[in-house]
Amino acid sequence: MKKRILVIEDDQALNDAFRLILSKDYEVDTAFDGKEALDQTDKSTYDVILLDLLMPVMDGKAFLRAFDNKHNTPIIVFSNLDAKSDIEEVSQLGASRYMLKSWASPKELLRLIEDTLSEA
Amino acid sequence: MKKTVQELIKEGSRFMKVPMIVGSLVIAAGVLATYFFADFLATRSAEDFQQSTEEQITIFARNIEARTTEFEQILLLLAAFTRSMPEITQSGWSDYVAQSQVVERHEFILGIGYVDAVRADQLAQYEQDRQARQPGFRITPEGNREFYTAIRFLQPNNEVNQRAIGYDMFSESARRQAMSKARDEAKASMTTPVKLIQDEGVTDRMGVLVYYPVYASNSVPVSVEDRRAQLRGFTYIVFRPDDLIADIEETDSSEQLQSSSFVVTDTSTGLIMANQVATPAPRETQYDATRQSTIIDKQWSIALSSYQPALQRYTAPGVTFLLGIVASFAMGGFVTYLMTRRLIRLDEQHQTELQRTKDELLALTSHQLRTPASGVKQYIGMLLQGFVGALTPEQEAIAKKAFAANERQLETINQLLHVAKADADQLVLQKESLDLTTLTEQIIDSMHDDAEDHETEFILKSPKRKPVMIYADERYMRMVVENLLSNALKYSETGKPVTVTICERKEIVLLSVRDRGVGIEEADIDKLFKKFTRIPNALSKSVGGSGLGLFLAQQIMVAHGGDIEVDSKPGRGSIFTLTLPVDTTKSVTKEAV
Repeated sequence: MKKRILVIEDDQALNDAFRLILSKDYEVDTAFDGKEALDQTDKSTYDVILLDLLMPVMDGKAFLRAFDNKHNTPIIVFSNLDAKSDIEEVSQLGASRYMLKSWASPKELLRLIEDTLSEA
Repeated sequence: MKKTVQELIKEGSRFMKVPMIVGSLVIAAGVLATYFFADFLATRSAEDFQQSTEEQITIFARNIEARTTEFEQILLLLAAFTRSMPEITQSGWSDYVAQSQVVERHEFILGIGYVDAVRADQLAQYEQDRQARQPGFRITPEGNREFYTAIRFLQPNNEVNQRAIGYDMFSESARRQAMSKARDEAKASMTTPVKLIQDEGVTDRMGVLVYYPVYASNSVPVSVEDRRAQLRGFTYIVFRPDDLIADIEETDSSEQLQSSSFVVTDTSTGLIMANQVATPAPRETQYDATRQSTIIDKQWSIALSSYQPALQRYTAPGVTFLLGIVASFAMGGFVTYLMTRRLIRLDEQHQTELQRTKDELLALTSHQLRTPASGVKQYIGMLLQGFVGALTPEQEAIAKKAFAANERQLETINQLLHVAKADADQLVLQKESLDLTTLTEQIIDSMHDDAEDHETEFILKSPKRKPVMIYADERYMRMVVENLLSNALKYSETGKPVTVTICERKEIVLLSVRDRGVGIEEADIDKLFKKFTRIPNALSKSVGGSGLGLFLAQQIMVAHGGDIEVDSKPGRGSIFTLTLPVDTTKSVTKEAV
């Protein structure tokens, strides 16, 4: 059975891109903001959550604060924010990895998720 | 960035124009006000002195009047005394005058005397009577006159005064006038200045006499005829006006009078009775005052000149002027200082605001730009990395070019963001111990394709089997080295290798990148690291490549406690050298990833 991934990304093009890249190996659900994502996590559990930070309605940090991570789902923050303070903050809020969006190619993204899942 | 004092002054002077003008106006206004105030003080000082001169002459005149008014009282009393006596003796007169102590009290009085009035028909009898008591008594000058007077007593009864005994003062016009007036008006009358009998052949000094009539009747006769008929004689005082004035000067007056010039004249005759000439000191100001004063029944005119010392006149205005000037300049300076400080603060606020707005704009723009560029990267990445099947070589070549172009765009956006941070002094370094050689090898490997495109290669020279440890933020160091290497490729001539040398000297780690390219004109070297804070230029240049990168590289090196230098000759290539302090953390060294 395929592992389940929740992609939380407000940019339509990127959201689609992640789905395309990941859907070959995983079962992918998508959300466009933190609020939608909370609805999804209420309904089902995921093996990995890919989380953007800057989003409308409810941003990534707010999602991390609101999300009750009962199953210890690893959360990869995938953002263009690269300030040390941001990285530290989301790490404290429970994110397990931090990846700069613009630095990762599709293959690197897949490798990151594989690594995360194998660690979990 | 800390500013040096010189920079601050230079910066301050930029804002000082308006404050200097305002400050100068304040100084000018202060100086003007001071000038007018000092002038006012000088005028007032002159007026004060003029007034004091007037006061002085008033006191002077009042003193003369006071002393002479007393004479009338004395003479009146003496007249009453003589009238009450049927016969007055020399000793009786002497005693009475002595009791009054008038002569003792007033040194300027030469004598107090008694004069008999003698009609022509009584002359022989009178002289006879007098000679019986005063041997040798004679009325002088001799000659036949209708009416005679004779000085009978003159106290003090000294040798000088005895010369006057028997003198007919009525025979001399000035005395006669005063005597007649005293007799007719039944009050004291004073002569104009006259030569005294006592002084004949001795001195030219003048004397003045005051007469008071003595009538035979008990009460003062009412009519002039009766007064003439009843006239028995006169009491009189003789004094020297110059002594009187000297006495006043000595006893009653201020120092000011002693340093003043004055002339006291008898108004009717113009005869000078007292004259003091004071020589004014240099630069003293002269003040004149004149006063007509009634002394007994005569007019004396007093002309007085007093001299105000320059120091006294100009001290208050001078001190005021100096203090005013100093205060004006202090005030002007202070105003200039306050305004300049305010303007600098406003400018700083403005600059900060501007910087903040610029940073926010840059940050926002960069993030906005990065998102779609990230999307492009993912999609082309999918094409290249076989997510949608194999590409034909042509397709792959095109996709690769698109991917590379997008990477450059991401890089530029990244740099923009870092420039914004560097400008705001917000480069946050996450330092760790790194082996610079390993890091450089990785970068050279990753740029292998680029080097091949330029038909050249990188040659790395570094200490063998010995890591060169630095303590730095890997991300930023990678950015700097990549920037130098890609610049070197860009400006190298094809086929000429780029040499990268890493070495450690004492406490310094050096990394130099040498290309054999076009080189840089000396005049342009300084511009290389210039801040591209003016956004339009920065943007347009950064798109081309190096400009923004080198500025950022320098910011990053400085933030690491190091620097970046360039040595270049046009046509012979350039050497860019990074310097960094050697890693002193001594922690367990970690291989750079």
